[in-house]
Amino acid sequence: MKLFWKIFATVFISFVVIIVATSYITLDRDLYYIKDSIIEENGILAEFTAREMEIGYLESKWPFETLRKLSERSDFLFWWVVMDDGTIHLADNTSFVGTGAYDYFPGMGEMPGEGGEKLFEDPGQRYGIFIKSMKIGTSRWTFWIGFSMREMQEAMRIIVITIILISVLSMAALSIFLYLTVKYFLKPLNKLREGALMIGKGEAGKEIKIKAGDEMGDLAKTFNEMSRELKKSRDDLERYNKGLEKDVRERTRELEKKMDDINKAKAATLNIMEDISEANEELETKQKEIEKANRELKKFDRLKSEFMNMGAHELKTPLIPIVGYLDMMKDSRNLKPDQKDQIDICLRNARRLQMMVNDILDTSKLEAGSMKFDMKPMNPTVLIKNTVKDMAKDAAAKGLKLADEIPEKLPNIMGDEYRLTQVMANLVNNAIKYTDKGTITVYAQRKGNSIEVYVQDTGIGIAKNDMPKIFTKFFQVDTSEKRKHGGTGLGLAICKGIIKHHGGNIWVESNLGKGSRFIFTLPIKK
Amino acid sequence: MPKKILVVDDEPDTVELMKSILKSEGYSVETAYNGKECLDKLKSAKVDLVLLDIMMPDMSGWDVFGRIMKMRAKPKVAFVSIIEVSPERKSTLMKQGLSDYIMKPFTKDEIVKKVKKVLV
Repeated sequence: MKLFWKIFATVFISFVVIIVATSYITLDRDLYYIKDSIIEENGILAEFTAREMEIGYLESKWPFETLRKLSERSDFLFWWVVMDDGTIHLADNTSFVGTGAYDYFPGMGEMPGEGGEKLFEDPGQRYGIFIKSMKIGTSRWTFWIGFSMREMQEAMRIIVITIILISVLSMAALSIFLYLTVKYFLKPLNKLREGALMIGKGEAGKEIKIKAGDEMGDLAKTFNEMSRELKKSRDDLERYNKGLEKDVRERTRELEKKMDDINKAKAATLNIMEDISEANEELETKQKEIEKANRELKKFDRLKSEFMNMGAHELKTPLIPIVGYLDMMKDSRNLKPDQKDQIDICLRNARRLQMMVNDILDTSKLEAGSMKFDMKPMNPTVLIKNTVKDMAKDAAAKGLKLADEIPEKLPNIMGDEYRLTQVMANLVNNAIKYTDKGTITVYAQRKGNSIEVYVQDTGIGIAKNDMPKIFTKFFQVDTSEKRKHGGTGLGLAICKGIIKHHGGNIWVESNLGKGSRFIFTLPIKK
Repeated sequence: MPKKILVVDDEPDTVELMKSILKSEGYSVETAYNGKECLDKLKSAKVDLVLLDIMMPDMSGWDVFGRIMKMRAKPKVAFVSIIEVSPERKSTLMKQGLSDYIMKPFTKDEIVKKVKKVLV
């Protein structure tokens, strides 16, 4: 709703309320006055007539004249003289005489007391009855005058019409007046609105002309200032926008270039991904092949292991009776000396063959990883002492001194006693083999988290070039020595394999011609 | 009366060697060349010690040992084999009733010493 109509409606409604209220109060007062005068008039008439009747009864002079004049009144309806019991004794219309007055007006209520009076008004305001008590002889009768209130209603109608007329006329006048005034007051506001609209459409800097000393004038001034400021800002903005557009164009070009690059990279990535999935498939195929090969390998490994056990059995078995019988025969008393020598030679070679078979089988087992180790906590001192004790006879046979030197109490290690004894025996046996005179010493000491075991001899020693090779298979120091010393060339390789399995290390230190020292380490049990 | 020993091995030469050694030491020796024969002989004759090979065709020494241990009047049993067994396995077998474990190849002195010890 426009501001105009808001102001208009507010003022208009206020005025209408005032007019209607004023009119109503006036009307009410007028009506009351008219009614009062009618009632008063009839009351006086009733009083007067009743008095005349009382007097007329005493003086036998009936007020015919008064009653006639009464009947000629414009608002007259009837007059009755009613007895004590309510029967109409006299009336202007004789047809009522002898009937009960209360039958016509059942809601009449009590009669007035002696000398009193009563007004009965029709609830519909069509008529009224004035009742006056009077004394006729000893009887107390009442005199009733019925009068019409039509006159009053007529007057009321005229007043209502007049008031409505006045209201309508004043409202019309008010409307016109209001319309013009409000419009006049709001005129500067419309100008402002138009100005604002123009600025909104882009005509910044537009100014409006309002010459008024009130708030509207102030508003116009402020508006004009604002407009000027706006124009300035807009100009600045436009300049900035032009710069910005240029920037944006450049950035857009850069961005497009980058997007191109990204798209290219994306395409490349997709290609790579395809390649990867292809490679993946290939990989899966390969993996399956490998798994298959692995299964076959395991099967093969098991077969090899079985074969090795069988081989061990088959190779060792024939030698058992040979060595056994030769052993028995050599103690026989019936042999000639040369026969005894021959049997000794047979026995020595058969034993050597047995040893070689064992060495070859051990090497194979170590290589296949199928050698079984029974790892238990054990003391290295016991190991060394037992070896020295077992080998003492062999050393003594060559006139060598074999001794152990263990300076301190050594901690336990984890090891397979059988295999470590094998290593010790091998090293001491080698020392005996390659030493012609002097001493073989076995000793051990703790070094960090390990035990170091030494087998030292005063034998032929090892050339520097040969030192790294002696732990490889089938290597012997000198081929010419081979026949002299025997052996398979596998002993040290087996020793190395066993020590490695224990988590230790084995190596040699030597001076050619002066002797060798074999050293191996074993980790201390934690 | 000499003690009776039953030598069981699928290698006849090895059987003969052991028989010679043991006879020279004064033992009475019976022979068998497989597990079934061994069990049959044990049914018909009273034997003091069985020297039992492990790797034999048809019925292995392990199986024969198991059967013997279920017999009511059972002889002593010692394995004679080239199979290396761990000390744990050996002690387990001893608990099951094995008397000794002799490694092949053996020397005359070795086998005589061990048999004597078992038959004390």
